Amino acid sequence: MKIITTIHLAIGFILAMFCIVTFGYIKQTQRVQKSVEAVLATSDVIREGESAQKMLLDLETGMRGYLLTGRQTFLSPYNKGQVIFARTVRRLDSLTEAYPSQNQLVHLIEQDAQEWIINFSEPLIAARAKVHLSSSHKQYYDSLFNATAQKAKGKLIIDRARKKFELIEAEEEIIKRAKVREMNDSLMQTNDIALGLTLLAILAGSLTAYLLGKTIRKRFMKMTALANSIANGNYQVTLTDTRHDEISSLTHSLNRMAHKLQQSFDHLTKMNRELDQFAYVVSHDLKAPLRAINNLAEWIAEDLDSQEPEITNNLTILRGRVQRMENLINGILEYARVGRKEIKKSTFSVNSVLKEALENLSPPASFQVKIAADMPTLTAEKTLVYQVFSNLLSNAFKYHHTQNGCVEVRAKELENMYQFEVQDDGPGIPKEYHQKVFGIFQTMEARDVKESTGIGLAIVKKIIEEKGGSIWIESDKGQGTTFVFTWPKEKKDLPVLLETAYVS
Amino acid sequence: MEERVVPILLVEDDEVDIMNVQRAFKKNNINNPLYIANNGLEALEMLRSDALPQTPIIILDINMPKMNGIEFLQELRKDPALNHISVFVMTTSNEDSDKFNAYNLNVAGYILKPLSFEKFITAVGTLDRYWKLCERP
Repeated sequence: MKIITTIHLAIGFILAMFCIVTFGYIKQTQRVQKSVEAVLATSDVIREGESAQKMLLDLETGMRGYLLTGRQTFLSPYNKGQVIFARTVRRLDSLTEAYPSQNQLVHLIEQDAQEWIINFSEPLIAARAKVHLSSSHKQYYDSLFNATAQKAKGKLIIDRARKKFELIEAEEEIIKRAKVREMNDSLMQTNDIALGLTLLAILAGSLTAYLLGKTIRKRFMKMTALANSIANGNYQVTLTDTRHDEISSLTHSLNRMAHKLQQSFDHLTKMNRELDQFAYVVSHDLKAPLRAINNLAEWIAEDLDSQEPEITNNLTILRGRVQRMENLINGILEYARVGRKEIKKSTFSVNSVLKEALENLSPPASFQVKIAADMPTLTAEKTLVYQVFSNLLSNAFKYHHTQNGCVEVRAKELENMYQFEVQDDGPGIPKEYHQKVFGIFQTMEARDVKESTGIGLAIVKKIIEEKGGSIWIESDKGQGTTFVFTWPKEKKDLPVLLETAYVS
Repeated sequence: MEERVVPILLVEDDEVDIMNVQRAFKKNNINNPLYIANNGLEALEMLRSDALPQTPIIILDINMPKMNGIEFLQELRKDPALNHISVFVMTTSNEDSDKFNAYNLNVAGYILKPLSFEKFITAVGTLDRYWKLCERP
């Protein structure tokens, strides 16, 4: 699975959790609203019940007042009470529709009220209204009053109705309490679910982040190790990655890179071997016939009876040319070898190298050689430094026009490198040849005048440039020559660069 | 006391080099009988047959056809009958690898063929003194 897919899945999962929480809250709100409405409805029922009971009281009071006084004013609350009562009961009826038992009670109350009005209050009021007409009417009223009111018939009916109101009220209280409890319960439940889901989301998120981070880190560390081992010159490394994601493609690229490097390295090694072989062939197969020619020339001269100077002279020249050819072959070999073999670095003082070179060169005693006292200590390939100084000093002695020249060697420390100067008071080199003398086989004088191969400075330049330094000449005709070259300081903290592999 | 003369076996393919050795012997008044093999195989054959009167000292070139000097040395050192023979390598090869290979195969000396004949004569003169040492009973 791709990493981005994993991340998307994890985020998707967390978002889904939060969606569920939000959805739960919306549902909960709706339920709370319903419960609140239900609670309000029970309050309405209780209130309406109370007002209906008050109307019943109004009816009773109004009727009693009229029966006692016979004045019409008392009938107005009675009549009004009837209308309001009927309205209240209708409202109660609609409010209790959802609860059949309550509804039934409301209907019974209505019947009670009807019964009270039709069988009790209306006949009494009608009879009372006619009392003043005749004594028989009065008699009738009295007998009716005694038969109904006196026997508390009306009161019984009203009391029955009141009992029923109490029942309704009590029931509504129960319903109300139940609703409130239900609401509280569902609120608690929603809280629990929300809390649980949020915790789950946090857990899932952290786990995904942790696992992803860990795997990515682990794999990047492996890649760093690979890159480091490549940097250290070990190309035979591969990473196995069975996954198919973005990091895998990077891993594959790294593997391919290592493989390519290994191939190039192998190729380079092969080329170097071939060059070695070539050098070997050159040094033997070209030199063998040369040596034979030389020997034969020598023997001819030995066995020759003729003392003709031209013949001996020619034979000498012949041998000189053979010697030169061998020198040239050796020079080519030496030039080709520079930088191809890896030489171990060591720490040594330049002074010791100069001493060694002078000992081996053994300049004429008449030459004066001054070496500055502040020669640095280098960490480098000693044989290469030796080769450079040896060639420069040897040139200074060899091409000096007098037998008592003076050669000076100085050193200067720069920021990243050392600068060395080899100064002589010889014939000097004209400006136009300052670059040319470093070319291979370039000599200032004809080889017949001064036997030289023209290899020395080419080798010096090749060594110095391979090590990251540079060389130049400060000279003019008749003013001596100063060869100035720089040699980089050892960079200890530098990681192994590919160049080292390249020259090894 | 009769002087015992150690024969010299020269293993060399180059005609001029053979002449060179012969001339050097003459110049140094070396009278040791000189036997010549043109390559390693020939030399082994001679050593294993009765072509030589007694155990010789070998002067060995490195670059030769069929069997070169190093291969010859390896064969020689493997053979229990021949592995005690003194061998001088005489070659143009100034390669370190050749020198190491030769010394690993227990050679008595490594002579670099110089370009000039005079130098070679001095080298052979040195060899002659060594041989005289070997000849002493």
